[in-house]
Amino acid sequence: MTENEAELIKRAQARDTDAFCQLAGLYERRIYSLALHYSHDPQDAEDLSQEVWLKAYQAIGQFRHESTFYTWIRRITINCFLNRQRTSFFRWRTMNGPLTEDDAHNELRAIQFPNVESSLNNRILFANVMRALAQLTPRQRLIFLLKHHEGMTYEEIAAAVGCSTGTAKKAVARALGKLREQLNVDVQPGECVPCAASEY
Amino acid sequence: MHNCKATKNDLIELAIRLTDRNQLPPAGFENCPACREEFASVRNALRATEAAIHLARPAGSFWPGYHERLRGRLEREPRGSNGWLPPTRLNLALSLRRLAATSIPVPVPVVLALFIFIVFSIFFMMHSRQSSGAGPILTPPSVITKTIEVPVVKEKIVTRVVYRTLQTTPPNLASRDSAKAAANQQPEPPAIVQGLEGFKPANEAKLTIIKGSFQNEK
Repeated sequence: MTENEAELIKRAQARDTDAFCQLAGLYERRIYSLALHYSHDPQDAEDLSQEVWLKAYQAIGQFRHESTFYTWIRRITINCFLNRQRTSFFRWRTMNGPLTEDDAHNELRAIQFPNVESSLNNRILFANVMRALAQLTPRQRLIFLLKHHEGMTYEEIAAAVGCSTGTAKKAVARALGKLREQLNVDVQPGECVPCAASEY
Repeated sequence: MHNCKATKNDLIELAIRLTDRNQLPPAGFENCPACREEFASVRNALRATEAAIHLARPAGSFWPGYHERLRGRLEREPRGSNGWLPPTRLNLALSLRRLAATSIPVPVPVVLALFIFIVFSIFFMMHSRQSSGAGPILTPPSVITKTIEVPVVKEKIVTRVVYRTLQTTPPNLASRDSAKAAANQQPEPPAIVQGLEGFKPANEAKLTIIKGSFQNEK
């Protein structure tokens, strides 16, 4: 935690809204990205991420510097995600099967990609990833995102989500299985497979 | 001995943390084609996911608007509502919450002993209440102070002098008298000598002559 951040926290605890907004500016992209992959929708992601910041604003007085500010805000984010169980929230929940090019034209029309230069291939890739994640339960999706996106250990995830480490491992394995199935990335026999040892 | 099934979780971990150069691959991984294929597949899936996440990142022009909307919502939020408390009340609430959530490890035998003690206490309390309820209800005695005159018997020591005349009887007579007394078993009433008070001597003396003797008497 930088000195600047500690000062901002102190001011925010004294109900300084400007200080809190500066504090939010340090982490809002990470929280928004997490919310986007959890909710599959930019609008929902914005609502969800702003709800996280509102809760943090209300509870900033309870922050005791026992962890980093980001760990604390991530905890609030996880609780917000788990509490948000609206059925209309998961818009792509019923989608199944591989995405064709025609489907991509129809279904991806609604997706407002911020990077307009994205090609159709990228859009299909994005849609396939989202579709794979949509086939998971919200909790499994959250566990996968915490593992992949946040780099948390299984023990940390289990403590944060309220499950066993075995459940967390299974959720990650299931998410990867869905992604491999949806993205069709299974390596064919005889295909040249890079040895992982060469990475080291 | 290499075990593909056991290696699977390690492969996922390895693929996710691929940037961590210090992490070593599982033992036997390099020599197992199945594990290498598995690893490559997982890694490709994760790369695709990474790419999708990168694609989904909002452009730089998105953030000023987002920030304004967030600030607007924060400013509309009333202060001190929904969880925020002033520091003093917050400390008290926090300490109470911590106290409520505090737990101490207690050995199972102690818990069992406590439980049995409580159960027996309740049983005996109910039993004693039932037994006391069967008898008459005794009201506690009330203390009343009342003065009562009680006659006190006073003992008086009276000294009385009694004079007795001593009789001198012959031994035979004495023995006869004593035998008679034993036969009758009635003690002779003691001669009450009233003393010489009121004694008046007679004017004429009468003399009676008794002849004979004690031994000639028949």
